[in-house]
Amino acid sequence: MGCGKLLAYSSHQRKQKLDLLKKNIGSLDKVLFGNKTPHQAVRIARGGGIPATQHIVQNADKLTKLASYGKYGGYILGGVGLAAGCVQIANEDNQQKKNEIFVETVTSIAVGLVGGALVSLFLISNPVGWGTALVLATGTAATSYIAGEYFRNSYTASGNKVDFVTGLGISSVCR
Amino acid sequence: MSVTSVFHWTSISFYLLYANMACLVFIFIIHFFVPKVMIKTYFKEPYFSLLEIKLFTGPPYAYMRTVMMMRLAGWPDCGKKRGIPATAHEVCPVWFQVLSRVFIRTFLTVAISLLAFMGGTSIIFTVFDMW
Repeated sequence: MGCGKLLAYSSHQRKQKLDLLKKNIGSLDKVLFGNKTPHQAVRIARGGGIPATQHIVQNADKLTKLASYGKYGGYILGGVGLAAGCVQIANEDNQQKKNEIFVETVTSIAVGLVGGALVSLFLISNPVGWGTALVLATGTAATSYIAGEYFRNSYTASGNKVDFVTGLGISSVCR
Repeated sequence: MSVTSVFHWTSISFYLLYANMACLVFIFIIHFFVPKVMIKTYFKEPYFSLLEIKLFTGPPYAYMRTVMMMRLAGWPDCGKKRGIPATAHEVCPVWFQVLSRVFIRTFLTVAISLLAFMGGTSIIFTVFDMW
């Protein structure tokens, strides 16, 4: 393959990759690249003294950071929920209330995880944009909250036959 | 335990919740048995975006990748929109394909049943003021 053909081929491949990147990033491109399009932001660095792939590496780093924020969000949501439940259990004297808080916390987290698994089943066949991802995440969070409340009521209505807090040793951990 | 208490709505809701929790435990266990070759071949660009790869690798969302891989193993056609070839299942062993099909059907049944039961009873109890 001649030099000209090779250049045209690599340019075509690069355009295809950038089109794919633009499609994957969707409406988030404004957050990542400001007023530039992905094609402009990830262009080959022509300035002297810096590697040609500098812009590509920088923008990949931005995406990686964004994913890290998403992970931290998951940790914070789960961690704060558990910690808040534990503090509430510790501050409550009534055994029935302690059990209700425990059931609400555990159910909320479990249903959130189940929701995440259901969303994954959908995601593998339907790569979604940021708007849909946000709707799915909000829907899962709302369902998890509602499930917590629902099972708290269910536990009360069932006559509180099972003492989870004592049986599972929660009272010795959250005190 | 009387028959009425076994079929009481609170008992049914808790059974469904336990079934869902058992499915979650199963996902966390099977996570370590997902064929590495499948992840290496298909959980990468251009099939998944860089953001998805980073997000679904490691805790806390790695179990979502496991569920995706299981669906891909059981229903190879499902990755068509992502550009994943319909031969994706060929890289993983038959036991994983069969297990994936059985598990995902079971999981969908118990998860949808729980959500439907919760929704149904909530609507009935709210309409008839029975909470």
